[in-house]
Amino acid sequence: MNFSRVKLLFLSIFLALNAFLIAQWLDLQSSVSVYAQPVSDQLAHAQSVLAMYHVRLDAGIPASPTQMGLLRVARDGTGLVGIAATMFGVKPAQAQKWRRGPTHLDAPGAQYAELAPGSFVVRFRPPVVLQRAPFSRQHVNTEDWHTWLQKHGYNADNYEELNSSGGDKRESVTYDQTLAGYPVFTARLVLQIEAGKLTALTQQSLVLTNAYAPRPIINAVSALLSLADFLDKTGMSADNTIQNIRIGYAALLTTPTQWVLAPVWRMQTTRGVFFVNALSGEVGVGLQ
Amino acid sequence: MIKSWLIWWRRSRELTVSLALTLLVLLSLVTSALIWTGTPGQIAVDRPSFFSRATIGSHRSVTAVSIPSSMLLWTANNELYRFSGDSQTVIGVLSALARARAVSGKVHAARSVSPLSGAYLQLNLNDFHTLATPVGMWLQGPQWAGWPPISGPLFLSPTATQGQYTVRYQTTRGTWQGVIAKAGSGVAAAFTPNAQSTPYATVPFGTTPLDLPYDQIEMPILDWTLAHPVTSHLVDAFFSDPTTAVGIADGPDSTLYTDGIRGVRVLGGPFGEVAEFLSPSARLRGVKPNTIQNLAAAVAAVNQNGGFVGQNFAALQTQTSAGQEFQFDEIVSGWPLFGSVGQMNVWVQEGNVVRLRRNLDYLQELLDEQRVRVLSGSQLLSLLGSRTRGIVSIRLGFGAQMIAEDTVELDPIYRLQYRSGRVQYLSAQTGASFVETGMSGP
Repeated sequence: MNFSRVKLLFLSIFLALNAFLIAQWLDLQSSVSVYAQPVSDQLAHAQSVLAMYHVRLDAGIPASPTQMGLLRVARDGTGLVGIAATMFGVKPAQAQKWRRGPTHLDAPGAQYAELAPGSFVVRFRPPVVLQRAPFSRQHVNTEDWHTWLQKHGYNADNYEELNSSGGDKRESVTYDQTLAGYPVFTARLVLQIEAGKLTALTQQSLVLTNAYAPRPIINAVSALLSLADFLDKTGMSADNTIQNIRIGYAALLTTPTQWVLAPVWRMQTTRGVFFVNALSGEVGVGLQ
Repeated sequence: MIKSWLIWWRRSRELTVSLALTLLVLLSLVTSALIWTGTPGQIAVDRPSFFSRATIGSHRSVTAVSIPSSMLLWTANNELYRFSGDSQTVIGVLSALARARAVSGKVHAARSVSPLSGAYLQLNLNDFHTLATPVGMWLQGPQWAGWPPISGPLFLSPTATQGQYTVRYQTTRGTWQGVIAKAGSGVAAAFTPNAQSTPYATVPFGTTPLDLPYDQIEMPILDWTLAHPVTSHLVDAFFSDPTTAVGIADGPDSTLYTDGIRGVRVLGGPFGEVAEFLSPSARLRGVKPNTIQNLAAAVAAVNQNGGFVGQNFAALQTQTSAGQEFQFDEIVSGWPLFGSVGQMNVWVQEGNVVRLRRNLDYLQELLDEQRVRVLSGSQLLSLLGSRTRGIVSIRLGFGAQMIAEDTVELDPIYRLQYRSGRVQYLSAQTGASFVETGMSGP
């Protein structure tokens, strides 16, 4: 047997086989390449689909991060004594003296009540009044309360302002806790302001226990299309307007100890708030 | 130079060819692998493809579960018979009603809901139909437009004209009646007792007469094997991307699988595991509930999360500000199965299913059947004696008790409902209290 000839024969056969396989692979590459539709076209399509369900889009489309991961959180177990000590700038031993039962604490000018671990309300008696410089004609505004909160609030650095609602007589300023750089729509801090005076503060505080590996998320336009699917499935066709779209975290399911925050697109509408899971596109309706 | 190259070539030719051949073989393997696995690196795959089908039972239509729990026939000879809601006779009546034409201008208020004399059919359309907006699921054709919402049993009695029937039923605005025509042979045939009917009697009982067996009728005691489906398949199928779900132990015998927005809670039940499929949702402002649409959503939710096993019928359990709760009970051998075996409850808000709770255990195979005689209605009432105070309804059906691992025995039982809402189960053979696992619910 002439091994040289056999080798040459195999060489030519494998040359032909590889040429065929490479051609096949290149063909596969070209056949699965995706036409990237411009965002403006995608948005126009989403708007027309939503219009079929009587939903109008009256909000800007925010830029989307490409990846986000689930967050596992637990209730903040600091307790009323620790929270009051932080807010008053005193030692825990001092705050302990103000304690009036397992869920109540009476500090000078402020009554604390624990609603659940990591969730509490503070009622200010008398209400907090911000002192402005003498002869200043400037009204106390949200920015001033934000400064007060940074100075006297509990864990206030980790909250960002969502909105303020109400009028001059009664106003509430809402903040979201931020975790992993994004707002948590279901962990809130709310300031109740009446006639320019702070009467109450309600706060929920979470502790991050685990951040899962980031994964690709859907963009805001895809989230709008998911919302349209949800409206179709549930047969909802009442007139509605989307007023605001934001990316962040939310949990509609909690347990007494730990739970999971999902990356969500929060859509504020005139009829309620929709949360679109940014990983799966599934939709939930929330109160916040 | 050339000479030296030729010398080198002659010496190393074999080696070069061998190396080239080896490289080509390796290249062919790599390219084959690339084609086999697709085209990595070119498409950003959002999430891994993951398909899981929960195949406990089969899909059902809304009309298939919108059957009455039973139908009563009062004959011209003043005899009463009961038909099971899933019997061919009842299905024939429902199909005939769906095709019937309402005689125009004949719908008006009536004084009495039940016919005062003569033969009639009484369709016990469950509580579900009491709050339905159209006249029941089977009566949704254009011919039924203008008929007020039904609120109680529906009575059918023949008129003097051949093929025409008077329809009477209770509404929230009083009793209404109308005349239908072209009901077909399904209704006419139901006026004759047959093998599917059981002799019944209306027993006077306070202000509400009770319909109970006339005599000691025969019923079976059934031994069934219980199937326990694989929970993980159901959990995976619930999420569009199950890899985003995280399991959290939230109780001694309970685990919540959640992606933050939706979740499945798996917990221990009386016979096996219970799964709660959760899509918590707040109510939207200004959106009115639609019972038929909500029932359709409830049926679709069951279809998607395991499907129906056996013959089920739907009942609207509660209607609160939090939404409507539908309960799906099973009919076994013509009688309702009380207790938690195979029971499913669905809570719906504006067409959005927020919670589906299903006992995953279900009746799989009939092992044994034994015929027994059960107490007649009058025997039961005399046995109860003074304990009948406060009773608003008595129904005959089956109750389950565990007799071996993965085997249940279905015994004939009477279900007593009291005005206070309390429910009591009694053995239909002896009248003794039937207190078994999973028999505490409605």
